[in-house]
Amino acid sequence: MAPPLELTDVRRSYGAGRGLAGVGLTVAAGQIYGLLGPNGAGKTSLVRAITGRLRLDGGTVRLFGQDPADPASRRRLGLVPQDIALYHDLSVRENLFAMGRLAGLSAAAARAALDRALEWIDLADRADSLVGTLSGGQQRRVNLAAGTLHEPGLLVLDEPTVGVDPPAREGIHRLLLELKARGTAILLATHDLEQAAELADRVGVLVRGRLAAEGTVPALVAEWFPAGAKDLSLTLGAAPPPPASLVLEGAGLTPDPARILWTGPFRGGVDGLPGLLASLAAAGAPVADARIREPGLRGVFFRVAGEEMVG
Amino acid sequence: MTRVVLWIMARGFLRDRGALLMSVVLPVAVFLVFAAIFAGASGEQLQINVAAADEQHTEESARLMAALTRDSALVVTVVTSTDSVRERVRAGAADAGLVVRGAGRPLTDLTGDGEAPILIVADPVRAVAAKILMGQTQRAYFTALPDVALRSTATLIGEAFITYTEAQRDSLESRFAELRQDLKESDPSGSADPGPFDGLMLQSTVGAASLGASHVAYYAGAVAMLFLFFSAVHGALTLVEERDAGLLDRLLAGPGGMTAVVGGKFLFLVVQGVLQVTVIFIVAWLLYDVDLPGRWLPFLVITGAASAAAAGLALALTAASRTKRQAQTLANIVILIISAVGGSMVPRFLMPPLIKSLGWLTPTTWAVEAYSGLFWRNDPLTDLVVPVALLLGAGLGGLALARVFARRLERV
Repeated sequence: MAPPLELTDVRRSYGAGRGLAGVGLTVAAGQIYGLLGPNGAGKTSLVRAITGRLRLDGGTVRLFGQDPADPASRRRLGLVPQDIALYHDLSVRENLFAMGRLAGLSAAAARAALDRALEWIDLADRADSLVGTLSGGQQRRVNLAAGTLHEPGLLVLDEPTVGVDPPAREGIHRLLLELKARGTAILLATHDLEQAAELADRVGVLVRGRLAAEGTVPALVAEWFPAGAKDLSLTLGAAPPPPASLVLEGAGLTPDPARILWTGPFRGGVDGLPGLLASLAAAGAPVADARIREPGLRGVFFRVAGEEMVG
Repeated sequence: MTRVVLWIMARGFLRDRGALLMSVVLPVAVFLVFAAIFAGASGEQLQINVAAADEQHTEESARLMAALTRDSALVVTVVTSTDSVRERVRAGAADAGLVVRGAGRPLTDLTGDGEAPILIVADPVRAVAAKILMGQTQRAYFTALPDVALRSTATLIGEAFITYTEAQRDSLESRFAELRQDLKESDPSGSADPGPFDGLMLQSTVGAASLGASHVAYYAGAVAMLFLFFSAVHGALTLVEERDAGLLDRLLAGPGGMTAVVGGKFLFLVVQGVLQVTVIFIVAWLLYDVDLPGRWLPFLVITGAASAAAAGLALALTAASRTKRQAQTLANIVILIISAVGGSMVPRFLMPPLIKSLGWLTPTTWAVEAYSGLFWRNDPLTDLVVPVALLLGAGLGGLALARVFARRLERV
């Protein structure tokens, strides 16, 4: 059986090195795929390609084996855009009914689905409130429900928790895990590294239009951090002089474009950190802030994105 | 603070080059169109369409017809009978009509028994056209037929004043006194009997009995079209607003796609337009006796077609624009021009000939003519087929165009 989402060598150029440069990924049923990437990496273009709204220079997109340009294939697709894509002058109930109908449900099915959705997002008591009067977190939950009324086999979410407080964010996470448990394939485009680490079964890091790293979080950590290495971040007061740069590079750290923030795997561990800081002070680059962590998705992202952006 | 707000507004204005161009260039185009129309309304370039028939077929009547035809203020179409003249005025093909009547006195006799030799046929909607025609006809009579005018006067003098006896002088004085008295008693508007030299022309009207209803039939259609367009644009702008709010992404991810989005908006705008125009005509029925209950079915057909035309045009203009500002500017200007040229602001017969001809390219003229035909001229329903078909064609054409333009929003 064809997977819910399969992208093969998807390419689209906007000129000046921007666009998609051969992206391939697969999202299986019951799987959450976290799509990470710095701004301008191509996440929005990729989402548009999945919804059939991007003219491709090459490659294929398949939803359950079908071309998304075919309207029938989109019946099994749910989209939760980054914007609160709802009618603010309609009530929650009216919005959900309209979105259900637009997703292809009959009127009766849409009513039944919206009743279930109102319970699911815990907003049955606000069903007749105008969306414009809801809090940001409540609007986000309605936004999510609007994309799932027709119980899509594939749900694409673009920054579903941007701008919401931690409790509301946790509420959204719970809903996504419930969808996953029901067998929904989920593509989650996000800047929230903790969110991706918490929810995603597989992660892809999109940089300059191509997947620079892809896999499970443990596999990515193992790939980008040597055994025993820690994830070190050093913030300097100013760009380091050449001797200090040699010390930093020798420790395995890479800089951001301003050469202020240096990150990377540090083999010296916690015990080796004071020695490194002393060497840097002696080389004329005092450290303003130092953080050392167990390696995780954050460290992978900065390593992948940093190398791609700089190199 | 104020300067910063000014700067922000100016940056936004200058950045949207399309809107900037439209804001600066298109008003000039509107000005030129309005200047042309209102110059016509002042009378400088006015030309009245006249249907004329000569039933006397005398040497004098031929000279009068020739003089009228030469008059640059008139565009004369010669027909064969009084009925033909009345029909052309009723149908709106002529602004006013003139008949040198076979049943009237000869043109050489202004004072004898019988009815006036010339009949002026007026449409109350265009009453000023008949007044202008009367003036031009008097001018033509006295310039093209001076011998006839002199002979009439000589006959008059010969009959009344040739022998200056005491009794006749008394009679003359008495007649002068009567004339003075008549002038004193006459209505300043000129509607009372102006005296013994009023024997040249007689006026008759065509169409509905109620003058109010005839005016309203014209203006109800004209105003309805203007507001139909503005409402349609307001509704069509949601296409741009939904794109900006991210809603279009969600709508287009559904199986219906852009065809459902554009089609749904079109249908809503048609229904909204029908309700809006119906309310206008219900008021016209209640206050001005426009016969809406008697002709509701053809009214609905015209109104549905007119609403479709407005909806199609509004959607096409909106879908063609890249920003909301562009859409608003473009739509407002196109609507103003269409409404002005089409007759929503100035009656069409007062327009210069070129603008009047251009009016036939606008849905406003098609709708106004259809409503006038239905409620004022009592046109047979078959006469409504062409304007209704044109309106429907414009609506569906606009819808198709909007769908094509919307591809830009649909796939990037």
